[in-house]
Amino acid sequence: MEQLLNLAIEQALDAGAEYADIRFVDKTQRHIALKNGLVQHSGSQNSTGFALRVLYNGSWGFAALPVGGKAIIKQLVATAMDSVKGPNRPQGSIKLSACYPIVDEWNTPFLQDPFAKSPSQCIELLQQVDAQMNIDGVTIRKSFIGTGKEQRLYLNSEGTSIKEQLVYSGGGLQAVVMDNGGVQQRSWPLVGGSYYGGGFEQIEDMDLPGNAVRTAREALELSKAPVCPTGVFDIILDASLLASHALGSCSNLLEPYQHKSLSLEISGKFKFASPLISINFDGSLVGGLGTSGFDDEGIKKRNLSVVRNGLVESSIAGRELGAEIGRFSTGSMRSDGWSNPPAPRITNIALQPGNVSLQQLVFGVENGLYLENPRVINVGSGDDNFIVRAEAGWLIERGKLKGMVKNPSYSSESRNFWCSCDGLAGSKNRGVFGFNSKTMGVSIVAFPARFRNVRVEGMQ
Amino acid sequence: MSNNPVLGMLQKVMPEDINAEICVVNEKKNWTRFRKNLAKENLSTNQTHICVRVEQGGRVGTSYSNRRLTVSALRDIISQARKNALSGRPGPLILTGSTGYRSMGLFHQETAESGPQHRNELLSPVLEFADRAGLIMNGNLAVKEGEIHIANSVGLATAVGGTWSRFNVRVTSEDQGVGHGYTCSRNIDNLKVLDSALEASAKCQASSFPQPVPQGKYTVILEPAAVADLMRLMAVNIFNGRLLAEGKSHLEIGNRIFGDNINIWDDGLDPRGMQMPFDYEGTPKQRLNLVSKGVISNVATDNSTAAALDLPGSGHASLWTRDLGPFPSHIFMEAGNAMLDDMIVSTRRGILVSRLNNLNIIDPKSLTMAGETAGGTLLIEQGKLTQAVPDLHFVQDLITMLNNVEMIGDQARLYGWLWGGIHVPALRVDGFNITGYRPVVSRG
Repeated sequence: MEQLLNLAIEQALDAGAEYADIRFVDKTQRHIALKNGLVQHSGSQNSTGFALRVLYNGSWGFAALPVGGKAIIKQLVATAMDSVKGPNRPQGSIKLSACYPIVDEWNTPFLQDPFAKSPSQCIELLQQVDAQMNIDGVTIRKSFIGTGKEQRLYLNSEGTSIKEQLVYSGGGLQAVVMDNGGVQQRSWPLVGGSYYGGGFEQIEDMDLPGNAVRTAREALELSKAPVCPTGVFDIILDASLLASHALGSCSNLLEPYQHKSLSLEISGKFKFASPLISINFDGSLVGGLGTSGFDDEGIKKRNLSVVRNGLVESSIAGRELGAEIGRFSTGSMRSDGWSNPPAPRITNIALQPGNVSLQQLVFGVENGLYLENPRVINVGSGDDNFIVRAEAGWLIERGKLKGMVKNPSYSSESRNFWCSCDGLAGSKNRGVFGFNSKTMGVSIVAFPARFRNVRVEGMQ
Repeated sequence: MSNNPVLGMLQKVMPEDINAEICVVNEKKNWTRFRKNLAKENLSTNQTHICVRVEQGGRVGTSYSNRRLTVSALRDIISQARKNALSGRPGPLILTGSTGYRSMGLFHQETAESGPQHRNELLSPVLEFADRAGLIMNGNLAVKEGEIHIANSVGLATAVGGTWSRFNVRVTSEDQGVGHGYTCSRNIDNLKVLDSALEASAKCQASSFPQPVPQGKYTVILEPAAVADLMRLMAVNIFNGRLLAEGKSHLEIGNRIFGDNINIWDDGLDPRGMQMPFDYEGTPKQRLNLVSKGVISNVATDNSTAAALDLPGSGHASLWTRDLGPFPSHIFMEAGNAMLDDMIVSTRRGILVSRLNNLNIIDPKSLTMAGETAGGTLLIEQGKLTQAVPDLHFVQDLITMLNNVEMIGDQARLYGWLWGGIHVPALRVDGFNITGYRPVVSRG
């Protein structure tokens, strides 16, 4: 395979490209889901292909094709070069920031192959989970496991050659109660589950059966609980809710692919949050879904501080944007699937820990709410308004948790909200959550946090 | 054995001892991206999606790959699906029998042959205009050629090929104006690239120096593009038969929940839309009334959802890899008799909305959605467009909203979506709940 990739680079340079890089990706995923004890889905997916980028006279050409032999390589190069040569070709002035060539290999560390357990064994595990959730009154019980393995090869015309194997595993469960009170759900660890870089041991560590009973009981309790009060309250978000919220806020604000000039303008001057909040984009996070050795331009991934003490201090950039703004690449180029070109994107989001405990956060609330798990997130960036609906809440009165409430939602302007944070829990309450899409995953490290004077509404 | 070589291949590998279905979707997409008035990149991808479902031992197994289509690749994928069936969900796998389809001309050679040079020729006058007008244009011009082949073990073997072309542009100015343009057609020669760019430019220039408006209820005029954004949300979250089958939907077929001027249907055969003869299970398309005079008439189904709901199959199976369930994707809303200008002139105080963005259903029981407007939002006062407004946030329940439609536009426009399209008019809605706005930041 490496010979084929080298051939592509050679042919591109012979055709006049001043730079070329090529990726080979072979990704296999398996997903098994149970619903009310019965298998709802047990399937596998495989996605594999080549993607070639060429730079010619300051413009990019790109072509992607399913894997094949020399004839396919020839077609790939011809298509990419055809797109940048000839009359009416694109006019560009793209330059790339400097980097040194790397020859290296990186593999996600794991103890058990993600496909170590057969589908039948996975189903047995999920049936244990289902049995724990099978309590009178629970209408729908869902549990699922997902695993994947990806082989990658990257070469470029500067001499970089990188080989990687990435693996991930994860899952989740959900209990739904439907009655006259509506539809109430409790999910663990998140709606859609949580996934981690690593082998099947990650799923075993999650202890899905051990969390199933509590989840089901909370769903029942929620269905009988009163509706959340409406008003302005101090709220504490658990780590999973803060993680989901941070994903929306950071994606919209700090991915220059979406808001290029915004990111460039705000570095160093934009107040994103209260001084308690510091955020890194950490491409080297152990167990992170966005973790690998190198990005899709062959640049080593790193742990980048983007928000320090509430101020935006950096932004992510690939080699093209890096050259424009006079910086090196931050190793953040990621492709949404092998058939798309890479763009600067978040790797993993790591909020830095605070210095109090969750109990101390609760103790500091006279009249408020503790909220867990996102149900629906509608989050913008900067000063955008947002609305978030959580799965469950608990009243806090004079520093103590009281009864459960249902249908809580909170809304604010994003920046005002983040600036109202006056308490952040420490490492003991650390939560790591992996949001997995079919093509690109992101992990988030978060902690419970307290926000003052937030508008809360109990949805009827 | 079919004369079509791909179908011939599928029939050759079709298992004879079990129920099986093979769906092969090939898509070649070529597009030109432009940024800041320069055609920066030409891109090309060619993907084949092979989706196999089998029923073995009373259980259903699935497997997907996007490998190169060969007999040996197909056999491997079928073998994997058989293995997956050992631990698959209980059957049956309900297959569509062999049937006839309406013939339609979906393929245009001009579109398939449109290369980088041709696309750059179409874009040049647009980008030159942007330079002269002092505007900034970002977007893309894309052409796609695709084929769907479906065969199954009960004798179905059918194929369809088509072409699409789409032009998307976002126009911005130093005065903080924003305008969006869009056009689509199966035939690139019919694509109104310059017209839509000019329209977007006019909207951008009209939306300069936006000033915020207070929160509250407003009369809003949703232009067709915004109504299309709304229909996408409703298609997946309301008209999706899986929600009803799983008990997650609060709708009841036969209940009137919207105003009696609301008529929405799905029709893959209507030549005004992006036609398709069948769905991803090979079930023939036909008109499906979704909302008739405000009454929920039907939901979209595939074979298994139809069986669960004891309804006839409606031909809305999506590719199972998307895992979204069956939803309509050839949506029409009945036009009215109001010209857009008349809607504006007869509005005392309201907001003209070009596009919607970031839409989510936050409460499925009341069908409450949250979202924001996206560029080109203008204030109407005493029947005139008086000032630009920044992107606005809203929380609005669809039931109230679609009971408060005062006027419906007389011109419906087409917006491409997946392999289908949405054909909708403008709407004027009273009492729309605006909850805030996004302060403007200069974006290039």
